Amino acid sequence: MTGPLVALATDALDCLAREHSAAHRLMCARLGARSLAIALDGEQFTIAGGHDRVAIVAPTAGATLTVRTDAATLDDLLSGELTVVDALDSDRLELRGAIDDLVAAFGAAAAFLRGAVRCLAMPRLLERLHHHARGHTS
Amino acid sequence: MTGSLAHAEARAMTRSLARHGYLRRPTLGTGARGGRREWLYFSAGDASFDLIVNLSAVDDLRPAGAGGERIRLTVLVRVGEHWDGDVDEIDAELAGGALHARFPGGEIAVRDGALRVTAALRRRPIALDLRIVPNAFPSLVHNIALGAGQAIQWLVVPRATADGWFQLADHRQPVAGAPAYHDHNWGDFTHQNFAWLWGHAASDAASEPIAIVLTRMVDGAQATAYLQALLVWHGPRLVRVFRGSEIRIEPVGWLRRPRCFTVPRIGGLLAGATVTEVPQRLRLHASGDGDELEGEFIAHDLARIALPNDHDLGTTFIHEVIGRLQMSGSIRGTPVAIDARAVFELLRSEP
Repeated sequence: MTGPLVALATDALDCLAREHSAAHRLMCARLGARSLAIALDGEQFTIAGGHDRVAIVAPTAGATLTVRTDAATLDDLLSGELTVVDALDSDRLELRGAIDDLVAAFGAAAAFLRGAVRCLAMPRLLERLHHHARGHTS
Repeated sequence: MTGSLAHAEARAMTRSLARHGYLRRPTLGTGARGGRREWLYFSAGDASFDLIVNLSAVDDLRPAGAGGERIRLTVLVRVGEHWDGDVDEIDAELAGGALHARFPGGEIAVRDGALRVTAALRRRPIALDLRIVPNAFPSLVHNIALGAGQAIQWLVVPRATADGWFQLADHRQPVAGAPAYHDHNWGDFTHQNFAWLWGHAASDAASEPIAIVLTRMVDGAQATAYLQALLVWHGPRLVRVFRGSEIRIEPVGWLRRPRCFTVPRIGGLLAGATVTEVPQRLRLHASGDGDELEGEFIAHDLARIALPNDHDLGTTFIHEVIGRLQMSGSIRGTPVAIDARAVFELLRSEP
């Protein structure tokens, strides 16, 4: 399981765990044991919750939620060019799962974001995503 | 007033700003690390644009912060109904004891009888070069207590004139004699139990050069006011300060916009896309000792600055609300009226 986006996701989770343990703990607690099957451009991986940890693992069957999007959409969301609602409306972001699981995953994502904006190393990771997305869209 | 007197007064206003508006960095340096903050705020605008620049220096309280300082440059530009802008984390030379800041792509300095504000954002195609000339003497307020060990100070120049230009992508907008405003705040506080309502407006009518600043410092629940004041200038001089119970502020309705532009850009994900807690109007009434002013601030548009809290995982949003201030009444028996572009700041916190 290799690819620039898998590596980016792994680095982002490591950054949060290293720099903001409180937000990391909150994200883990909110995600619980749920798993997210991610399809991001051509890369596929699973974000697996484990109550006190979140890991990125190889794609597995039976994930609680599926998420399909692309790096350009992710970059647009994180740079304020696009709202989540608009991304969903325009099919640039697709989420599938039971509503309770979606709400829990949204809560986990919110905890990640709240920690991410307080991490010193996160802006460099956002720049990496931005350059990658530009490379794909230009 | 003769031309030479007016010229002398203009020089005196700038000298006063240089003398009192210096960066307080030495004072900040001796305090305990915690909630030390200092920022320089500039606003300029007319019927065709609005421009807000804020240079801030705060203690870096991020868990992985090395005990240093965060310096951020915020620029917001509004042309028509289109907002742009961002917040850059920057390295800056801030000269304690002088009103001088130098940073990549820009500076803030008193030079040749004016404030020079230049800036260029890193990730957005925005740059500006303004020469801001005070048209009123600065007003200085010290040691407003905000709770245990916390206090704020400020200096405000309510009326100024901006000349120069700003660039937004391919659009270069000249700025010629645009109404402008400056304030400078410093102190030691967090947003844990502190918010504010702050508004300013200056009439561009030469016949009635009224400027008004409204400030209301409140606790986190916005239930108790540490201080509220409505300051009125006529021409270059402060002529009346209404305080405390002399002032009534009544919010009416909610400002609903289809989108709320947010900086830093990631900040939009920390809150919903629309704003529900910014009033559409603020009815204002100030009276005391025979003086009276009444009217309202009418909100037209807004953008917001997202500040992650130091004390929890929530976010404080500073809403920069563009609108119009219409007030009239009398001070010392003389009729006073203002109908002018206004910018109000309202703070809201989200968990």
